[in-house]
Amino acid sequence: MRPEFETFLARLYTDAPLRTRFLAAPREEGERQGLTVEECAALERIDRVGLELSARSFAHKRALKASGRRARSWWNFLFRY
Amino acid sequence: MGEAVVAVVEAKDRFGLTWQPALAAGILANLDRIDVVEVIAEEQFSASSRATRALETLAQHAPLLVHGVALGPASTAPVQTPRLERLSRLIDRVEPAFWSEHLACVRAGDIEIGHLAAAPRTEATIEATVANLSRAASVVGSRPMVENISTLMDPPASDRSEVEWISSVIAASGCDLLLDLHNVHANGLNFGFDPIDYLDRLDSKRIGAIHLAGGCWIDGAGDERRYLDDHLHDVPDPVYDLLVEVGARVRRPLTVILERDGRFPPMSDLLWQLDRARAALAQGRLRAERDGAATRMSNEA
Repeated sequence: MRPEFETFLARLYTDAPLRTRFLAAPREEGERQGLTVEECAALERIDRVGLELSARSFAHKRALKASGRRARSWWNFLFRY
Repeated sequence: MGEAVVAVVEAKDRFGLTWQPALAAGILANLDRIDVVEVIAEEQFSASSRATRALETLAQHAPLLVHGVALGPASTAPVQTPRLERLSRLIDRVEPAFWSEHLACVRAGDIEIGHLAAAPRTEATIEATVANLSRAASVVGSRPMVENISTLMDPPASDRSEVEWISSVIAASGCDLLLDLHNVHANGLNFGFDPIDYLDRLDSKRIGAIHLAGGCWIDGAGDERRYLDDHLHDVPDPVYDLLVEVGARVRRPLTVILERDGRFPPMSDLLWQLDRARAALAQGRLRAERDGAATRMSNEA
C-alpha cells in the first residue's frame, strides 16, 4: 500500500466535504487525488455504511480528546503541583 | 484433588481492570480481588505530578501493565520517535509486567484520525507493521504485545482476512497477541465471520493476554447497523463463551483485563464480571484437561 492511499483514507475519515464528494463519485475523486487505477477500483467497492459510521466514531473520539485536553489544561492552571 | 484442578491452579492466570480515575478508590479497596491493573500510556504522558505519584504508589501494591493507544504501528509511516521515547520513560518508571499496543493506524500524513483505524490487510502493511514493531521494541527495550482492533468498516484494498493478517504480523514480528475477545465478537457480527473459526486459526501459543469489554449496536444509513466496541457496557455473554474457548486452547498463563471507560457501574458489578471471567477461563482449561485425558485413555485402549 502506498502512503498516498493511506493518507487519502485518513482524509476520508476526517474531512466531511471530501467524504461527500467521494461518495458521490468515488473513482473520479480518487483520480483527482492522484490514486492509481487499482486504488480507485478498491475505493469504488468501499463499505459506505462502515465509512460513515467510522467517520462519526472518530469525530466523537477527537471531540472527547479535545474536551479532555481543555479540562486538563484548566486543572493544571488552577492546581499546579 | 484431581489432576485437572491442579492444572487450573498452577496456570497462574491474572485478572484485572483498566485504571480509571473514577475507579481508583474501588480498585485500591479491592486489590485482594484484582491481580493486575492496566494503565493507558498516553493518559500518563499528560498526568499531573499528583497523578504520577498515585500511579507509582499503585505500582507498589499491584503489578501494572502499560497499554498504548496512539502509536499506530499498522502504517506505512514510521512510528514517531518522541512517542516511543515517552513510552520508554514511562515503562522505565513503572516497570510493567509487559506493554501493549494496537495493530492500528492512527495517523497518516499530517492527519490525526483520532482513534484506531484498521489498516488495509495486504503484504505491504504486514511488512510496514513489522518494521514499526521492531523499531518500537528497540527504542523501548522490549517487544509489545499487539492487540487486534474492532472496526466498523472492512478496510478497502484488503486482499486477506483479518485473522490471516494478524497471524502474519505475529509470526514475523515475534510479538505475542493481546487478544481482545470483544473486538473479535464485534467484527464477527459486523462482517459475518465465525469467532470460533477465528480462534481456531490463531496460533494459540502466541496468545499472552485477553481484553474483555462491552458495546452496543449503532444505526447507519437505511436499515444497516454495526456493532460498536464502546467500553461503556457490560461484557456480553458471547464474549464469556469465547473466553471458555480460549481456556480450552491456550496452555500458558493468561492476563485478562476488563476494560471499562465510562458509565461506570458499582465496583461490585465490575468485580462480579471479573469473577465470571475467572470461571469462564477455568471452565475452558478444565475442558482441555478432560479432552486430553479422554484422548490419552483412547490411545492407551
